[in-house]
Amino acid sequence: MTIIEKNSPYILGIDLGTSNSAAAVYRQGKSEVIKMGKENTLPSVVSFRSEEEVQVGENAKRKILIDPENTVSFIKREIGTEWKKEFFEKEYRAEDISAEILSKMKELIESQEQFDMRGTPNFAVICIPANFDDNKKKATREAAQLAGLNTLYLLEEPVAASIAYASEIKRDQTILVYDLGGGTFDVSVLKVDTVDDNEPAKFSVLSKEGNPNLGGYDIDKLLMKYICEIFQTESEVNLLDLEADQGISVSELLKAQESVREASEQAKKDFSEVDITNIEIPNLIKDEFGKIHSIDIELTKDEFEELIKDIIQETMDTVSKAVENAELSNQDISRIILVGGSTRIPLVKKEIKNFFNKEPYSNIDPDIVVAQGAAIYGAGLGVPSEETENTNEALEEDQPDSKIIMDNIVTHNLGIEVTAGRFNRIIEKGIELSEDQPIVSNEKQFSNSEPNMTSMRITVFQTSEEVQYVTDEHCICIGEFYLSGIPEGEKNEHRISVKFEVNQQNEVIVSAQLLGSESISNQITIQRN
Amino acid sequence: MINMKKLIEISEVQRTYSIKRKLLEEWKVQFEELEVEAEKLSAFFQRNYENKMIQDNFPPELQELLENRLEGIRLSAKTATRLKRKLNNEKPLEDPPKGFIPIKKTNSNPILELVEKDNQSIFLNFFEEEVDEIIKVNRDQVELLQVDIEMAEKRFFQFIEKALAPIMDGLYNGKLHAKELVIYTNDSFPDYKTEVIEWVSIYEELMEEVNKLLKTYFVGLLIPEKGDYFDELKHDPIAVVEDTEYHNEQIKELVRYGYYYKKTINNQKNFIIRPAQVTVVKNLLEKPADKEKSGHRDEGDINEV
Repeated sequence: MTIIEKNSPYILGIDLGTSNSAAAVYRQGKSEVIKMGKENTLPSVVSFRSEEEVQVGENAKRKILIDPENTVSFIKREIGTEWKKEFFEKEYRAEDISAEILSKMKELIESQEQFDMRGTPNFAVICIPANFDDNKKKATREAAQLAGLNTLYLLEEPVAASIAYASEIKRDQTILVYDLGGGTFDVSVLKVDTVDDNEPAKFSVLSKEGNPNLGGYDIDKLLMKYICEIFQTESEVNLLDLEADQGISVSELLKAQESVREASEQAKKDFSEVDITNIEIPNLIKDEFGKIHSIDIELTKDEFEELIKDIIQETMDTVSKAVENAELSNQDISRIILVGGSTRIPLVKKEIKNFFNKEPYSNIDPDIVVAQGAAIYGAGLGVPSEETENTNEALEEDQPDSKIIMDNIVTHNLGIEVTAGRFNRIIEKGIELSEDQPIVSNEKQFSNSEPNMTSMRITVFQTSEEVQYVTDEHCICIGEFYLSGIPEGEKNEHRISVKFEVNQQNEVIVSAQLLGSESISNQITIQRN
Repeated sequence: MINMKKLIEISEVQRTYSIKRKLLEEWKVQFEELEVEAEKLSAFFQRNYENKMIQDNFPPELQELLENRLEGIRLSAKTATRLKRKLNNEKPLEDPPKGFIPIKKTNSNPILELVEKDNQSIFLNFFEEEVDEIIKVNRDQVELLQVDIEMAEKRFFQFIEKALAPIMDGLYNGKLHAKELVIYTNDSFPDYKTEVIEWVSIYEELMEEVNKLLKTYFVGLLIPEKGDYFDELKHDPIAVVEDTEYHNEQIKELVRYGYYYKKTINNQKNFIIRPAQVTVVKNLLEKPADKEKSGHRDEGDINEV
C-alpha cells in the first residue's frame, strides 16, 4: 500500500517574475518568504542539459552564455504566445518552461527547513502583470498545473503589492503602485477599503498604465556607458566597441566590460546609502602600447541623478497618466508603494515625493512584496471545500483575521472582427466590475456581408489600445465560434445580435443569435482568470 | 495535560536557543576581529606601496613601464583603505533579542522539576497553557535569532565579495600583466630581468596577505585550471571562445578567482560565496564532450591556494 502525504494547508503566494521568482506563505499572522536555497528569489532561467536533466535558477543562469541554444530566460515575455523550441528532440512551449520554474520552486519549498509546510504544497495564488491577456493567463494556469500546483487565483502584481501593504497598515486608502522591474514599468491605482477589521477589505482597481520597454536595466546600462566614456577620455580605449581596431582582443574587452558592469551595479546600490562613491578597478586593461589602464573615478549622487533623470521622468509621466485615468488628483493618492529593486534609487523616491508631496512607503522589501501579498490573499481564500479531505487542517494561528474582496476593471477593449478585417469594439476597456455591478454587458447588431451566407464566423479579439484593424499588433484573438443554420438570403438581409458579457470571474461570454429565430444561436465562454 | 512530548519540545527550543545565541555571539566577535584585521591589511598595502622604489639605473622605458604598474598598486592600496568602512557599511549586529524565557526563570516551576525527574505528569494540567506560552515565546525568539544570524552571514559574505575580492581581482590582473612584463624585459632588457622579477613579486606578496586573512576566516579560493571542465556550481562564464585545442566547455582562461566558505552553513558544505569567472571554449564544429570520459571533476573538488 502506498502512503500518500496529505496536501499542505498553506496557500503559496508565487511571484513568477520575468527575471526572478519568489514564493511566500501566510503564517502566524504574517506573510513569510520561503527561501529559494540561500536566497529569497530564484532566477527564472531554465537550462536543458540532456533529455532528463533540467537545471533551473542560478546554475541555469550561468549557462546562458555557454549554452544559449539549450537555455531559456525571460520566458514570461513569451507565455501565451506561439513560442516553441526543441530541446533534446522534445518540443517545449513557454508554459512548459514556466512549469519547470514552478516545479523547481515547489521542490525547494518541499525541501526547505525554515518551517513545516504540514504536507505537500499544492495550492497557489500566482501573480501576473496587470496587462496580461487571456492567452497569457490561461498559459500561466497551465504551467502551474503541469508543475503540480492548483491555481486558486491569478492575482495582478500591483494588487498583490497593495494587499501586502494594506495588511501592515489598516486604513481606508487610495494606493498607487510604482513597479519598476528589470525590463518593464507598471503603475496601478487601487482603492483599498479596510476601515473596519470586522468587514472584508475591499480592493478596487481604478487604473493601470505601463511601459513594457522601460526598466531598471536601462539605468544600469546608462551608468556603465557613462563610466566607459570617462575611461575612454583618459585611456583612449573604448571598452564598449568590440569591432574598432584598438589592438585589444575582444575577449580582453569583454572581461573589462564585465568588471565595469559589476562596478556600475554596485555604484547604483551605493547611492541608496551614500552621496559619493568610488569606482576603483585596478589593472583593468592593457592597451596596444603595453600601458595598463585602471579606473579610478569618484562619482557623486548628483552626477548619477543627472544621468538617469530622463528615465525617471518617463516613469513619472506614466504615473501622471495613471492618476488621470483613475479620475483622481495627486492629493487623492494616500500611499505610494514601490515594487522592484530599482525603486531603491533615491531619485525615484525624490521624484515621487515632488509629484505627490509625500514620501513613498518604504517599509516593505520591493523584491518580495508581490509574493507576500499573494500569500495573504491566498490565506484568505483558503483550501477549496472539495479538497479539504485531502488536505491537513489549517492551524488557527495561520488564518488571516480579515477577508479580501476584489473589485476590478475590464482590462481590454473587447470586440469582434467585421468586414475588411476591422475591429468592432463591443465592451470598452476600463469599465468597473464591482460588487454592485458584477457583470458588464453590451450588445450590437450585425448583418450578413454576402448573399446566401448560411454560416458566420465570430472571431473574438481583445486589445489594450484603440485599434482599427484586427491585424494591429495590440489586437489578440482570444476565441472564435460559428453561428450556423442561417437561411439563404440577400446581402444584409439578416440581423445578427452579438452580445458580450464580462463577469467577476473575468470570463467573457460571447453569444450570437439570428434575430427573429431564437433557435439559431451559439455562444462561447472564454475563461480569463 | 502536559505530556513528555511537550517537555521534550520545551527543552529542544531551549537548546536551539543556546546554540544560536552562541553562534551570534561568535559572529559579533568575528566582526570585531575582522575590523582589526582589515586595518592591518590596509596598513600592509600602504607600507608596501610606499616602499616600492623604481631604481634610477633602470632604462627610461622600463622605468615608465614600472611607474605604470606602480599606479595600479597605488590604486589597490587606496581601495584597501576602504576595507574597514565597507565592513561597517552594513548595519552593525545587534545584541540577541530580549524576551526569551530562560530555564533559570522557570526553575521554581514544576515543569522543570518534571524535566529533571524525567517523570510523567499527573499534576501539571494547571501548567499546560503556561508551557505552551513559553514554547511559543521562545520559538519566536529563536526565529529572531536566526534572522540576525542570517544577516551576519550575509554581511560577512558581502564583505568578502564586495570588499576583499575586488582587491584580489586587481592584483590578479596585475600579476598576469607582470608575467608579460617579465617576458618583455627578458627580450628587451635582459640585464634587468632579475630586478624586474623581484620588483613584480609585490603582487604575490599582497595577494598572499589577502589570502592569509581569508584563510583565517575559513574562506577558500576557487582556482580552476586551464582545461578543467566548466562547472556551473563553481564557475561563471564571462565569454565563450573558439579553440580547437580544447573540447567544448573546457576552461580556456581564469578571469578572476572564486571564493567558498569552508565551514558548514545551513547544512551546506563549501558554500560558494562567488564563483570563479572563466572563459569557456565552444567550438562550432564539435559537440559537447563526454564529461565522464574527459576527466570531469566532481563537486567538492575545490582548489585552494
